[in-house]
Amino acid sequence: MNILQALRIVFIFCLSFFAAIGLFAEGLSENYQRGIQYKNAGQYQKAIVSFDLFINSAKADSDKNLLADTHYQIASTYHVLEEYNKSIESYKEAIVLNPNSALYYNALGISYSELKQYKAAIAAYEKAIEITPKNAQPYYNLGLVYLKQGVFTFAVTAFKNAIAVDADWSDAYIGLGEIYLKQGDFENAEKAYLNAAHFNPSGMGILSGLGQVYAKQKRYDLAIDTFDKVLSLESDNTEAHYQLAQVYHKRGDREKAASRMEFFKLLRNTDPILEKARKWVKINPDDPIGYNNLGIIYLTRKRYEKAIEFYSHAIDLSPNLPTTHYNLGLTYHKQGKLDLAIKAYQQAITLDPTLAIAHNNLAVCYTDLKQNLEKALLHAKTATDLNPNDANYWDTLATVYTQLGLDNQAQIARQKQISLLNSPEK
Amino acid sequence: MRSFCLILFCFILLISYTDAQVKFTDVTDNAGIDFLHFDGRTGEKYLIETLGSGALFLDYDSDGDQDLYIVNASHISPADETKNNLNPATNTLFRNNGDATFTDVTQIAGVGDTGYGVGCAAADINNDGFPEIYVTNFGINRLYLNNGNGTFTDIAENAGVSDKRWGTGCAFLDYDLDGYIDLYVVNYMQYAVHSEKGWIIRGVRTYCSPTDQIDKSNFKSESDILYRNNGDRTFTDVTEQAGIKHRAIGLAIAVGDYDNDGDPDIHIANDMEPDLLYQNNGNGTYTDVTDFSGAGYDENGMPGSGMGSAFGDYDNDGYLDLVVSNASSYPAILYQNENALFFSDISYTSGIGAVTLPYFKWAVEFFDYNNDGLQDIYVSNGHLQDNISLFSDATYPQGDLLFQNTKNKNKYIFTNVSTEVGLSKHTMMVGRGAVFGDYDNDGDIDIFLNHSNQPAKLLRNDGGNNNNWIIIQTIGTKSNTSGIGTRIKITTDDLNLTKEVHSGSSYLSQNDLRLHFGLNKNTVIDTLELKWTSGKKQQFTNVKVNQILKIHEEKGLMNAQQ
Repeated sequence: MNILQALRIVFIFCLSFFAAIGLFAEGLSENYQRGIQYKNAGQYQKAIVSFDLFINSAKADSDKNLLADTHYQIASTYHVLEEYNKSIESYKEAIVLNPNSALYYNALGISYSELKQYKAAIAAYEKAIEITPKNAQPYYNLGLVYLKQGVFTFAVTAFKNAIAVDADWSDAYIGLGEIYLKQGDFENAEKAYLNAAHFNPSGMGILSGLGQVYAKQKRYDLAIDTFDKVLSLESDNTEAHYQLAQVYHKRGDREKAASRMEFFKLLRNTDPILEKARKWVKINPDDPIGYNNLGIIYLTRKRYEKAIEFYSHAIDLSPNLPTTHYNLGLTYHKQGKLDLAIKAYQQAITLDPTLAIAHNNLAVCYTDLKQNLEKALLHAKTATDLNPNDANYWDTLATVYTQLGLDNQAQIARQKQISLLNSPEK
Repeated sequence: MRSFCLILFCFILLISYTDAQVKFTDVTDNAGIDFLHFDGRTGEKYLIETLGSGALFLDYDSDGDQDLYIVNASHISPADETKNNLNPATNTLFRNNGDATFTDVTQIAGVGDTGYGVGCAAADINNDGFPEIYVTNFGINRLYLNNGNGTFTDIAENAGVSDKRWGTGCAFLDYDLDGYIDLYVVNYMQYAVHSEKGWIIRGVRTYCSPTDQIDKSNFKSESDILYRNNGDRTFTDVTEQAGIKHRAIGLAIAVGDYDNDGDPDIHIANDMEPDLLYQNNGNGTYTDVTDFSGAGYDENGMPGSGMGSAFGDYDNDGYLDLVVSNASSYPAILYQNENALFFSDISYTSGIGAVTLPYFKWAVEFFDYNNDGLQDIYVSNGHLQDNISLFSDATYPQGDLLFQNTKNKNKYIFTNVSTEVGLSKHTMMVGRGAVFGDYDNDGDIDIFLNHSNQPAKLLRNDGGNNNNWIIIQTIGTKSNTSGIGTRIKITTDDLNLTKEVHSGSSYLSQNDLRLHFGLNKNTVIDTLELKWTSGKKQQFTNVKVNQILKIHEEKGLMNAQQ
């Protein structure tokens, strides 16, 4: 998985590089430039339409290299959209126009690899190497393909070739580390990961790999420390939570193991949904609901900053969705940023005064702040008026009454809460 | 020095020669096995067509040799059958004639179920000495009561085990140790053929994964069933009360006492979901111990696509290890049982991980093919998509894999010897179920393969018996008659072997219930110890090798067959 992430980063780097060339080149057609702009803005479908328009309007004497690059841009856009068959077709078009581009062959190999067409991927990488033997990237990608196929000997050679060409190619060290780890050669695995760490001390793949090496070596304290570093970088890293749960269990710390395991399962259950939601916004970049959904998933995974980022983006796209404001408020609320939560909840009820849960949460915020208890009471009452069958709302109302010293009313509200909790419908 | 080198060279040659002698020979035709699996495929790519079916070895007529029961699928719907005026595909029972040939006795035995067959298991549910057969179907499951005269009667409904869900793996076990054999049935998903969605890849229709089926429809993963044997040829569903509460896309079951506490634990291989390990609490209930056992995920916390599952002690430490087969791009996982505290994923370090990665794996089993005293591993392969070659490098038929277990300085390494033993030649098929047993009673383990929508194959082990061996049949009295769950330990000069009598295992199948031990060059067994599920222990010393022994729970050693 770490390797895949690394692959994606490399690929995005390639995209950005070419996008940059496109942006700065002079004399490019409007459609081409627009395509590049759309692509950089994450408007992939529009980018493809623009690139297609450019190609379709090209004349017989058009610059072949530019046309090739346009096909490449289309291909790499399809790749981002995970439409690998289409990306392969477009890479091939680019190669017909410019058969000497190692970049195109390398990218073609990556698409083939995604489709598990490893023979074709290897052929593409080898062609890229033939064209530019001093470029580490295709050697590294070749190593990844062999790694995926379980052909470790060839993978090691390919990663070493990448390092021979470019000693700073840290991902190749990670690849080596992964193989040595799988082979049970923990000493060399540690060395490889530490070599990679020389270039990027806080690389996720490096830390994950090192953590696994330490766990295998039963150096549990070091493993815990390393996985904690992973989580400080990405608090919802599913694998790190699993590893930590296992290490704590093996060390006999059952409480910590159980807590990690519980969160691991939550993450594992939401991993596929997250993947789908991410893909959805790639295809539908103007859909606020898609970003709202991403926010919900990140909120569930306790990645509050990410959730806020996506809710805010959804609000930018469509400021009038009350539930998105409510979700944003809830995230701030979970972070303990009550002032910001109140602001977002208020916006939600401005847009939809019948949103009972937003009223309830506003009441909770005011109560927690121990200020504006009148407002707290108003919102708590509104919530119970809007939905008298929710025991939680009566709980909030009872709490507010208690804080106001209205014990009789508090008792009535509490009784209502208890009766709802005990009702068969509940 | 020169003499020493020469001796060493000869020694190495001798070892290589011995191992190279083992070959598997396709004897399907000569043995009279004429079985064609039929899955009713229509071109519509219904998921149900992909699972294949299992098979089992059993001695249904108690004549001392292993007969063969093979499950078949069928037409997708009866309408297909009528429309095409076709005979239904049937499950088939082959009686072993005792001369390495078989006779089809399906009709006379009355076990030719025409349902959409999936898995099977056999055990003596009424302790009368004759094994019954249970069959899981996509539809009503069957329980064939052995009448003891070569015929069977389906009593599933009266026995309370005629579940209609999509059953897959099943196994008999005495979970409450009361001497009556109980039954566990794994279920796959709630599913309706004509409601399912296919995948279209590059304009071509393909089979859709089970999780996508669930995503796009009302299909749901399914709960399993644990039946308690009431001792009167009826069973009671005790799933909930026994603490089996999961819902999953279950395929395979392996039963074994992994924690050495005398009661059977359960491992379930789930398709595209975490596998499950249930620990028997010893009071008729189970606890799901998957999380910290390590046996639900790989070493990185990734769930596989569990297809097959089997327990076996590959490192001869007295603890049952576990092997689980998975779909392609995910290895077959070998879990080392670390003193029952947890299972460590050692797939890659053991040598099976990298090799199995590209294969679409189904049946998986431990067995000692060369009688050297070390449990080897067999993996049966075949892709799910019959048109996979249109989309990737993979092929639909895939050769099976045999990994030879060797010990070097206390480290156990598995080496792929599929080509050396002739498997690559015989098994480029669409593998699914696989069964292991000594059908010709010559002291080495043969293999029966039930391929998906293709002819089945019987592969005879030639040369495995160059090393010494013993085969033991357990006959319980206070324990269940089949002896399922009995643990046997064998000690020789240089071997300490532990095995347990298991019912359903691998993928939808059941092996020869008799326990086979390879003994390498040892000519005598120093001690042979049995621990029955009743708790009774027996010990025998100075037991001769190269014989088939029957051991009775009360009477001890019975007739030996050389």
